[in-house]
Amino acid sequence: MARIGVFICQCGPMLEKALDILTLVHAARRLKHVVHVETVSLLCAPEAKAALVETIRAHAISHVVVAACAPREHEKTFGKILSAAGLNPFMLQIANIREHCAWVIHDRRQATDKAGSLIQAAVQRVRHHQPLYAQQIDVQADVLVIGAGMAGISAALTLAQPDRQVYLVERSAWIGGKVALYEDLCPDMNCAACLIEADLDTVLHNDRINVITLARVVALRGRKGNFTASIRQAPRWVDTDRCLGCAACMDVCPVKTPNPVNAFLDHHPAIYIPYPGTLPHVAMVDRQHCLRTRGEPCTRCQDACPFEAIDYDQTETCREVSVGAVVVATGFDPFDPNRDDRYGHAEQDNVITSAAFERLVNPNGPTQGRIVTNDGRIPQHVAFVYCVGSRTDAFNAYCSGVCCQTAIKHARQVKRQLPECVVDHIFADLCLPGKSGQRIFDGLRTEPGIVLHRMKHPGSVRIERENRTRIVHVTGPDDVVQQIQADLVILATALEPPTGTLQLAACLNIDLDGDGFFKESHPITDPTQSCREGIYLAGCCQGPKDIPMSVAQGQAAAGRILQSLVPGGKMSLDPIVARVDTDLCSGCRTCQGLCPFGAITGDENESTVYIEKTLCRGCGICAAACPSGAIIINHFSRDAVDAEITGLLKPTDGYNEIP
Amino acid sequence: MKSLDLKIIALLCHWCAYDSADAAGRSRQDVPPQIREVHVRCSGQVDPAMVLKAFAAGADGVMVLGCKPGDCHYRTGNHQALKRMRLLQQVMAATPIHPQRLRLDWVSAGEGDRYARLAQEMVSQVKALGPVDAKGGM
Repeated sequence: MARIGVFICQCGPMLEKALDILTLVHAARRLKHVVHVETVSLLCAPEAKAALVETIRAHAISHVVVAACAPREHEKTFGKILSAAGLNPFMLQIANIREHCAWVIHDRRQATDKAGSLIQAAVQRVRHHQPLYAQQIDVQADVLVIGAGMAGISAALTLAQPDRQVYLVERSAWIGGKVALYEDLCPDMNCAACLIEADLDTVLHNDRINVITLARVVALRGRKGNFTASIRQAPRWVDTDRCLGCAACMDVCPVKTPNPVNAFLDHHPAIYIPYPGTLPHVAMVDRQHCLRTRGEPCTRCQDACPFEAIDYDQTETCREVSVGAVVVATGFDPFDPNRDDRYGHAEQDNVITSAAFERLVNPNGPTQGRIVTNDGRIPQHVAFVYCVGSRTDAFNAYCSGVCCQTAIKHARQVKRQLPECVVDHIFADLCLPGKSGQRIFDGLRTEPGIVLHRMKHPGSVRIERENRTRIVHVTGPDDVVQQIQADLVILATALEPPTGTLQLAACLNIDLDGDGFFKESHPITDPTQSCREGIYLAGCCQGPKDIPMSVAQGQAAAGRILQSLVPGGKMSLDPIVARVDTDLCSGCRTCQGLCPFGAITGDENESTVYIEKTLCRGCGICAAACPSGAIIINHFSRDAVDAEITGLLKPTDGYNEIP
Repeated sequence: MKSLDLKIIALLCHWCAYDSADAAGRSRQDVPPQIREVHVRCSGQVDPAMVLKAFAAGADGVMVLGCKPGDCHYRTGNHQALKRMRLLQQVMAATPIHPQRLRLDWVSAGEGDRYARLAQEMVSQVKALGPVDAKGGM
C-alpha cells in the first residue's frame, strides 16, 4: 500500500501571495493514500532538506509529491533527498505550482484551484511510479576516427593515450587532408608543412594509432561504449612495409593521366606518390588508369622496384574493429565552379579555383611554386572572385566563412612572388571575423597594387575569354558593369559537404542539416556530438570552419570521449527507456521501423520484439505506435500519464470521491 | 457551465514545450487557468488513445506541443506526432468531438510568450465550441 507524503513549498514569501496554501493542504489531506501533508517555507533550504529526510522516515512514506517549482529546477535535488531517506529517487512527482500556477494565473482563487488539480494529479500519478536503477555497462575505450585531415588528426593525437587504440580511417592515400597540400597558412603566412608535418609524423609512428588509408567505413553496429565498425580498404598494389617512396616505379610507368591532387594542372603516372613529401611516403597504383586494369600484362613498375614492393595480387580487404566511440572528421569538398557557366571555368585555362592555386603556389606543385598562366606567362593582372558558390540560393545559402581570408592569403602570395602584379579583389562583402580579421583587412587595404571592387551580389560576375586574357564583367552595387582584365582569375570557392556524406550518414545512422553537413546534437549546447550518442563531429563536415576551429573541435570531440570512456571503466545508462511486455507483444514490428535509434530488433519468426536498452533513449515513439500497448516507457507509462490526466480533470472539490 | 470550468490538457514534450511553459512562468505571462500541463517525453509519445482518454475523462480540449520541426531531440518524434494528430483529427470529424478541440503546435524552450499565446488561442478556440457535454456532444 502506497504511503504518500505531500510537501507544499511556499518558496519563501512567494507562493503564499498567489495561492491559498491552507486550502491546498486541506484538499491534499483528503486524497487517497496520502498519509502526511505539510507546508515548508523553503524546501530547497539546507535545514528543510534535512528535515524532509527525517519526515519521510518518521512517517514511513513510500511515495513523495513535492508541490513547488519546475522539475527542471529541483527534481534532482529532491531525488537525492529521497535517496538519503532510503527511497528510490524515482518515487517522486513534482507538482509545478510555481511556474504553472502562481506565476501565470493572477487570480488567487483560480491559481489555487489549478494548483489543487496539479497536486491531485501528482498524487494519482506517483502511485504508478516504480523504483528504477541506472545500469552500469562495460565500455570499449578504443576509438574510430573517420578522416585524417586536421580535425581527425588532432582528435587522434589527443585520444592516443595509454590503454587506448585509435583507428584512423582515411579515404585518400595520405594523411593531413587538404592542409597537407597548402604552402602557407592564415593569418600570418605560417609555413604549413613546418606546422603539420611533425604532427603527421607522430600519427604515423604512434603505436596507439592505426592509420588505415584508402579506406572507408561501410557499417557501424552497436551503441556508445560498444560499437563494431566494418572498414573496407582498397588495394594499393604496393606493400607499404617495403616501399620507401624512391619513385623508381614512377619513371618507368607508360601512363600519363591528369593529376587530381594538383587540381589537374599536371599529369601523373598510374603508379605515383600523390605529392612529394606525402605521408605515408609510399607509392600507390591508380588502378583506374593502370594498363593492367585494362587487361594488359604490363609489369614495368614491378620490374623496376628495387624493394619488391609492388604486389598486383592485393585485393580489397574488410576488417572489423570494436570501438567505444566514433569521431567523424571527413572535411569538405570545394564548390565545383563548372556548375555555373558564368565563371568560365569549364574552359579550364587561367580561371582556377583556390584549391588549384594552393598547388600552383606550392614548391611541390605542378610549376614548382611559380605562379604562371597555363601557357607559361608571368601574369601582370590577377583577379580574385569571392563568394563562388556561397551566399546564393542557387547553390549554398550559407557563407563559407574562410574563403575571404584564403583569397587574401593567396593575394599576398602573388604579391610576394610578383610585386609588380596588379591584384583585383572582386567581392560582395568581406567576412573577416575573429581576432586577426581586421589585421588581415588592413594589410590588404594598404598593400600597393591591390584594387578592391564591389559586386552587387555574390555571383554578380561573368568571366569571358578574350585572346590570351580573361575579362571579368562585374556588376557593381549601382548596377554599373565594369570590365576587369586579368591574366589569371582565381575563384574563392565555397566549402561543401564532401561526396559520400549521404552514404556515410546512412551507414552511421546520423542526421544531416539542411545544407547537407552532419547535424550536431544541438547547434549551441552540443556542437560536437552528432544526433547519435557516441558519434562525434569535428571539422568542416559539421559546417565550414577555419583550421584552428577544426583542430579545436577535433580536440573537443576527443575530450568528450576521454571523459566518458575510461579504459576498463563502466558507463551508466539512463533508466528511462522503453521495455516490452512480451505477453502482450504480437511481434508485428510496427515499432521497429519507427525507432529513430535502431534500438528495436526482432524477426518475423518471433512473436515479440526486443528493445536494446543501451540504444533506447526513451522517447516513447514506439509505445505510441504499439497496437497492443505492449511497450512501456519507464517512469512515463500509459498508466502513469493517464492517472495524471484523470487527476487534472477530476473536480477539485471532490477530492474525497477519488477511488 | 461557465468558461472557467473548461479544462484543457496540454501535453508538453520534455525538451522544448514543457520548458516553454516554465519560461512563461518566469516571465509572468498570462496563461489561462483552464490549461492543465502534463509532462511527456516527446510529442511522439502522445498516441491517439492518450488524447481520446483525456476527452473521455472530461477534457474539453487537448493541446499537444512539441519541438519545432528539425529540433526534435529524438529526431522524428514531432513528425510522428504530426501524422498521428492529423489522422486523429480526421477520425474525430466523424465523432461528436469537434476536431478543433485538438491542436498540435510547436514551441521552443525559451518561448514563454509563444506558449502563453498558444494557450490563450486554444482557450478561445475551445470557448467558441463550448464544453463537451455529458452525452459527448459538440
